[in-house]
Amino acid sequence: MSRIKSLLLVCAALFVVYVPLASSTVTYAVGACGLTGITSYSSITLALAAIPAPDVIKVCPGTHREQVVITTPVTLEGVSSEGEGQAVIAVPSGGLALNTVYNGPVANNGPAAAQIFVDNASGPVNITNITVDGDGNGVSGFPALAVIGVFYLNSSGTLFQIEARYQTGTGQGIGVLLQNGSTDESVTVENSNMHDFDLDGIVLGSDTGTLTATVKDNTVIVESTAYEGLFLSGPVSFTASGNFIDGGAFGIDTYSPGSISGNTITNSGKGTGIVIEPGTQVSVTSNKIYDTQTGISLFGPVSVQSNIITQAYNAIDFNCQVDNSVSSNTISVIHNDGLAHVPGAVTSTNTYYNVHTISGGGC
Amino acid sequence: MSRIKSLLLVCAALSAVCAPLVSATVTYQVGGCLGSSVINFSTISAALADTRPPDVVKVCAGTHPEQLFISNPVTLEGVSDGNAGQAIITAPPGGLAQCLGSQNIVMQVCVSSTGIVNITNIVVDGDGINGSGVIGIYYADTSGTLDHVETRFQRGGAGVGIYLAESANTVTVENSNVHSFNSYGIEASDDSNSGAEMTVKIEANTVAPDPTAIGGILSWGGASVTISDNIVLGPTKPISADYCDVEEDGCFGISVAVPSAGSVSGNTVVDVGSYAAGIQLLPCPCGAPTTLSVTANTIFDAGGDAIQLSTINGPPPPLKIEGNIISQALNGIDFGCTIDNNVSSNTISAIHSFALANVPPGVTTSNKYYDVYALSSGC
Repeated sequence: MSRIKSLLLVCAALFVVYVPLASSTVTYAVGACGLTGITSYSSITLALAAIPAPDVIKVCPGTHREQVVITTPVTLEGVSSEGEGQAVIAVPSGGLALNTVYNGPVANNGPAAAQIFVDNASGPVNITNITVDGDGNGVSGFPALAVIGVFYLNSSGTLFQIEARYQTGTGQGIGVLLQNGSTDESVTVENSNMHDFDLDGIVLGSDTGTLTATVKDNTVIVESTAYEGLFLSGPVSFTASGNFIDGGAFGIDTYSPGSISGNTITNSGKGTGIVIEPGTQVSVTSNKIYDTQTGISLFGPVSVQSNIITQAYNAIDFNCQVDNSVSSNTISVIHNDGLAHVPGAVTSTNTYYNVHTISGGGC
Repeated sequence: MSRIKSLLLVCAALSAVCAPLVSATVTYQVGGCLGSSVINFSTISAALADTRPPDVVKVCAGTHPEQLFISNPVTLEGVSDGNAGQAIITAPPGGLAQCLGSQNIVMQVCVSSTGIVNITNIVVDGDGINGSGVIGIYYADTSGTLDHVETRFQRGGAGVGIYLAESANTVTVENSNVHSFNSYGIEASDDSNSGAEMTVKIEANTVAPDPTAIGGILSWGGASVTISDNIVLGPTKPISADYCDVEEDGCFGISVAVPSAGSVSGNTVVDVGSYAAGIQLLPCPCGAPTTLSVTANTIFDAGGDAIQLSTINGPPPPLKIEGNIISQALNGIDFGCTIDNNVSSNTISAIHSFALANVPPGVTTSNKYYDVYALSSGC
C-alpha cells in the first residue's frame, strides 16, 4: 500500500472517531444573538432543564431575570453580539426568593437567596463572562436573608471573568460563596470582579471535606458599608494570588491554611490588610499593602516575607505571638510601629524607611 | 621581586592614591545620633551652610522644624536613632520664606543646584502651613534622585507634594510616598522655551491624593518620561465636572502631556472618582513627535474613563496603548474621536458604559472584553 493511501486511511479513521465526540457536546443558547444552528431557550433555567442536558449554555447579551439553580455539570458562558457584551443575570420581577440555607464554618450562617446556586453538582460547573446583578432584590430587614451572587455548595468548577454586584440588603450580601460539606471539591475563581456587596466579596468555607481553592487575579472592591474582601474558614487549602482588594475592615481574613502571595491590598477602610487568625498556617509573601491601619496582623504561625507595606499605623502586628517567621519585608511610612506587639524572643530583619518606631513591645 | 611583594607594592600605591579621595567626602550629621566621630550640627540649614560644604548630611530621626534652601550638590539622608526611624522636616515656627522668586507659593525644601542633589529617607510634613500654594519638595533646574521620601499634608490653596521644574536636568523619584495633598502629588513640568529637555523617572511610588484633589501624577512635556510601577489611589471624590476643568487638564490618577519619548507602564491606578480619568493622555503644546507607550497598566474602579485620550489642546499624537487591564470603569478607553492610535491587546472588563468610547470610523482595535455593557461608541 502506498504511503499516501495509508495516510488517507488514518485520516478517515480519525474522522470516524472524532465526529461522534464532537457531536456529543450539547450546546444551547439563551436569547437571540445570531448563534446559528443552536437551539435557543428564553431562559437559562429552561435550557438547564432541557433534554438532552446541556454541556454548554451560551447566554446572549441582555438582562436575564431569573434565579438559576444548577445541579449537573455544565459551562455557562456569556457571549457578545452586535456591540453588546454583557449577559446579566438580574433579579426576577418579584424580587429574590429564599432558595437555600448555608451553614458550616462560614460567617453569618442562615437562609439565603442565591442568584446562581450550584447545588451538589455531579461534575464541574464553569461560569464565564457573566454578570450577576443583585440590584432591586427586594431583600431587607429581618430575618436576615443573605443575598449571594454565586453560591457553590459541595460543587467543583471555575468562575472566570464573572462580575458580581449589588448583593446587598441586610448586611449579609456576598459576591461569591464557595462552601463544602463532607466531600472534597476544587474551585477556581479568577479574573473576576466583585463590588457593591454589603458583607464580603468572596467567602470560602468547608465543614469536614477539603475545599481546594484557587483565587487569583480578581478585583474586589469593598465599599465602606461592607466588611471583607476575601474570607476563608475551615479545611480550605487555598492559594490567593494576584488579587486586587480595595477597602474593607479586612482585605483578606483567614482561618484556613494556604498561601497569600502577590496580592495588592489598598485602603482597607483604615482596617487591616491581611489577618491570619489563631492556629492558621499560612505563608504571606510578596504582597503589596498600602494605606491601612494595620498592614498584616498575625495570630497564627506565619511566614511573612518580601512584602511591601506602605503607609500604615502599624505595619506588622505580632499580637505578642512568637511562632512567626517575619523577614525581608520593606516597611515604609509607618505612623506608629513598623513591628508592633513584638514578643521579646523574636528577631526579624526587614528594611525600614520613614518609620516612626521600628519595633514596639508591650507584650 | 616575589609576586607577593609586587602585589603589596601595588596595594600600597593604590592606597596612597585612594585615601585622599575617600577623605574628601565631607559628611555631617544633624541631631547627634551618629556619635562624636561625625561633626554634628543643630539644624540641616547650618550643616548645608558650613564653609566646608558637605557631600552628605545625615539627618537623625526626629522633628526638624526648618525650611531648606539647597544650592550645592549634596545627599540628604535620614537615619535611624535607636528605635526611632523617621527624620521629619516640618514648618519652622516663623513660617516659610519665598523661594526662587515664587509669588504666593512656598516650598519646604527648595532645591536649585548645578550639581546633583539626592534626598533619601526623609519625611517632609506640611501640616499647619497656609498659603495659596504649598510645595513639599521643589527641584528647579536640578538633577538628582528622591528615594524613599514621604511628603504629606501639602495643602493650603493648592498643595503639591513634589514639583520638578524646567529644562535640562535628570530627576528620578522612586520608592516614595506622596499623600494628603490637595492639588497634585508629583508634578514634572518641562516648559523650557528651548525645547523638550528634561528626563524624568517616576517609579515605584505610592501616591494617595486627598479625595477632592486634582490628580496624582502630572507630567508635562519633556525629552523622556518614564512613569512605571506606581500605585495611585484616587482622587476618589473630585468636586464636580467644572472643578475638574479648572486647570484645563481635568482630574486624573496619572496625566501625561506627551513627551518626546517615554513610557507609562506597570502602574496601578485605583478608585479614581467620577469626573476623573485613570490615565489621561494629552497632546504636548510643544507639538513634538512622540514614541510614548502606555502598556501593562492596571486600572480599577474608575468613575470616569480608565484611559482617556484628551483633545483639550488638540489631538494627541499616535500612541501605543497595549496590554493594559481595566476593570470596573464607566468607560474603558476613550479615544476622544482621535484616530491614529495603536490600541490593542488590552483586557477590559466590568464596564458600565462603553469599553471603547468615542471611536472614530476607520479604527480597528483588538482587545479582550468581559462583562462590558457595550463594546464601543462612535463619534
